Amino acid sequence: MTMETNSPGGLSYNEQETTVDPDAALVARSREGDLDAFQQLVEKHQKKMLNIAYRMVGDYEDACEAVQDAFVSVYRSIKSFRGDAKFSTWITTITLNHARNRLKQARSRNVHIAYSLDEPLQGDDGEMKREPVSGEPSILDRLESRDIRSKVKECIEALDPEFREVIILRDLQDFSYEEIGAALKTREGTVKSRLFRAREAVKDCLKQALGVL
Amino acid sequence: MKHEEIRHKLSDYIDGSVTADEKAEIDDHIKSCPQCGNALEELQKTVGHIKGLEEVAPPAWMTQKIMAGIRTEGERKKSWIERMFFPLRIKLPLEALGVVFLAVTVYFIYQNEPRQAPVAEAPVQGLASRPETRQAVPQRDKADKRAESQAGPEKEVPQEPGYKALDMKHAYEAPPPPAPAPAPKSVAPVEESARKKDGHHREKMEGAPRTAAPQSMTDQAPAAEREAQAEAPSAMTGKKGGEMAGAGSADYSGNVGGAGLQEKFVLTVTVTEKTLGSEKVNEAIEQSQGSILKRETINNADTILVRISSSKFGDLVNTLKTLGRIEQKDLSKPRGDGTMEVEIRLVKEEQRK
Repeated sequence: MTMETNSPGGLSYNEQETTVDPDAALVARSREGDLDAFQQLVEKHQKKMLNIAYRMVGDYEDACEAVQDAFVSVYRSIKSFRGDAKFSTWITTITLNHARNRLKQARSRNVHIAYSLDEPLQGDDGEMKREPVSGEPSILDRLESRDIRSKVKECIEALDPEFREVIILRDLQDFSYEEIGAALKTREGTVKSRLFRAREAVKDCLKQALGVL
Repeated sequence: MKHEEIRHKLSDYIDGSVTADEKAEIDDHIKSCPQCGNALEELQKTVGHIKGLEEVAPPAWMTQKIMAGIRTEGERKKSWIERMFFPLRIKLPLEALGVVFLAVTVYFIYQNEPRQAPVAEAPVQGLASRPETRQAVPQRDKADKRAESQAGPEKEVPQEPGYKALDMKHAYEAPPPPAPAPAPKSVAPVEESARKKDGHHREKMEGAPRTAAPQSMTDQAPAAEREAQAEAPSAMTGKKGGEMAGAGSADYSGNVGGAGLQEKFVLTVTVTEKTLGSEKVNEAIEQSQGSILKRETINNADTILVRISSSKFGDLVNTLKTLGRIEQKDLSKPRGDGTMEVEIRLVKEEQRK
């Protein structure tokens, strides 16, 4: 599935998406060149966009750059935003496009390091030594949430981009099926199907990594 | 629903996006199917783990960096657009006015561009524009006109640009007055005697002052006169009080430039052998440091137009005299210190009439 980095006029695929946009006022001012208004939009949405990009790209610095590029693209094309979809949905689409591009660049540079059970994990709280999986019942006890989070992160990053997106938007960002459909420009049924397959894949990945969920 | 269908619905079941009937059916199936129950539990844990991932915080500089990038791009873009078109109310009309002004200027420049007039053909018969000839034409008197009427049709000789027309012989300073009426009679026998003496060469020089034209009109020797008139206005031949026909006689007529800048004389040389005579004439021209302008044959008479310094004219005449004897009483002398043109006509003796 390909999505335009700049979606002129906003998303119009999912007609059922609510048009009530809490950002409408700021968007209107931004279209007139009010940079202060746009800065408020940035401050409001940058964290969410960063996390989406981070989960997509897998690298914090790359995610930051992807988000910066995304917001610049948003401002560049904000005058063509018609408001058919919510502003948050629109910038999500743009952010995912930039993140996807970053991912392609990273893969082409062979930055991705193959998953190895013996290598230390880079978790959120720092580097952790990877422990081999064993069949002892105490594994669940020994594995702390940080370890599990690392594994989950890795399993998500192992997914193909189209499955990764639905996992991120649904399970991490609590997007509705409607919003996911609008952001990805796909039907709600497709979203559900992809989400099932993505969750199944992560489950199987975690079972393989942890032994027991 | 079948077993597999329920398995596929578990993800929706977790999200609460199934219908009430579907939920009831799934609840009933799970109670009776440990596999589906186990699958549901694992799926719920997986989703739980996924949701347990902590969010990352954006760096403190991110907003500033984003806005800085936006401002830089906006200012760059704005600058040249601002310069060119904004404010629209002021700059657009000014630019439109400038375009209109430029178009009008180009149009007027194109319209006022001087068009080159077609180049006028160089007059074949030259010297109508010469000041001396222009002065001469109005001064022609009745006698000249009478002489012209008596004369045969003028023969137009193709002339080079700048070449003084033969009919412009009027335009020269008055030579000495011609001889009185009897003079031609006395001349005729002289000519005849000259012819008898030297039958080889005969120079005929025609020259007559304009003022003497009335007197000399009736004094012309018919034979010599006829030839001169055939080639030049009779007014000129009429003027040649000194026209002489005969061997060795030199008759010449010349146009004196009104301003003395250029003179022209016509010398008729009668020879028995044209080829030999032509060679000797060429030698004479070289000795006098003259330059041959044109050669042509008119009525079997070889005509050589020579430009020579006025000071050398006498030498030329003297050299030509060696080819024959010159007998004339009113042999005009060249005037002015400039160059002059001499038309030397080489005629075979038996052709002279």
